[in-house]
Amino acid sequence: MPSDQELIIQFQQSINKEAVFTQLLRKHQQKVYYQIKRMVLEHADADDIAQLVWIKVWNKLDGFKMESEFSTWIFRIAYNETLNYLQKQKKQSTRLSNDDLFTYENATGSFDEPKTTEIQIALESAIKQLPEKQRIVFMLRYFDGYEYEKIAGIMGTTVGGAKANFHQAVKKIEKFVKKL
Amino acid sequence: MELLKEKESLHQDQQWVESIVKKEHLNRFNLTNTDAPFNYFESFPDQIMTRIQLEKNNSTKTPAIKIFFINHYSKMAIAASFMLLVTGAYLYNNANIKKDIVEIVSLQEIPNEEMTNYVTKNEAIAELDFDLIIKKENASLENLEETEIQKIQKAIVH
Repeated sequence: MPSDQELIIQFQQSINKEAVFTQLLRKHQQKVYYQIKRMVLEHADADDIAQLVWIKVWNKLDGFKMESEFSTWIFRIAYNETLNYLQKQKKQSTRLSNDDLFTYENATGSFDEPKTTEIQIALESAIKQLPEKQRIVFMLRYFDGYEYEKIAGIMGTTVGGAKANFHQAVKKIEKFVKKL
Repeated sequence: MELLKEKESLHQDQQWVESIVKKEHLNRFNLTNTDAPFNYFESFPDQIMTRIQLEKNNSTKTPAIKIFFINHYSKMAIAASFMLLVTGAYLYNNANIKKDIVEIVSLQEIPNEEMTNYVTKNEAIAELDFDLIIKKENASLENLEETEIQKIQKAIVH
């Protein structure tokens, strides 16, 4: 299978653009989709954003200078598009409202050992209530095992900034889970 | 060496998270948030390519109306000419004002003879105007009827 770089060169030389682009799309679509889905949680939203991302990639791929990895570049586009989308839909954002937190705390306010489902709900709530940047760093670092350098490249921040975001995210999750 | 360090650091980070939340819970969370509808990824590339094709067709069928169709250098040239025009007009107006001042000053330097000639000429014009008014008044007196003239005469006598 040809590498990303080879495919991009073919695309930029206008050799069967559609076919080359489809290959790139098939290769990266799942990771892009999951990165977006973890941020917005709803399939319909993730699908909308993923479409926007791939159309942007089609329009900008001719100008891609390969100064970074293709995957970093496309994840960065996905990250920015997701942030834009979330800002537009701030009211329906994935953050928990105060009411949700109150309901959750009441539901789990017993002295018994928390059940698996409760821990699961707590974990989801804890991750959902993280600020977008911390949430994405946590996902990319813990679940995808990305290096901080790559995460910094995706988010357009420094390695130190990415490390700080991960640290804060874990601390917040810990604080939330300890309430149980 | 650096790769090894990075792997170690990643392992440490993951262990830290797993010391707070069990790995199975984290995995379950990941699973529930990384699912997609059945056959979604099979149909997605076609969906995108169709959309791209549609956008391509739309852009060729209805070309965008370009208001600013000129290139960057032409824009700069037009801006420069406009500036030149404005500056030119401003300088020209200022130059005229200065000229007027010069003319006013030079009036004071007109010789007395010329001034006298000017005044006498104007007096003649004033006299002509005065004659015109008298002539007009006479004309209106001529239009008066006999009875009205008598009334006026009586009023003067009394």
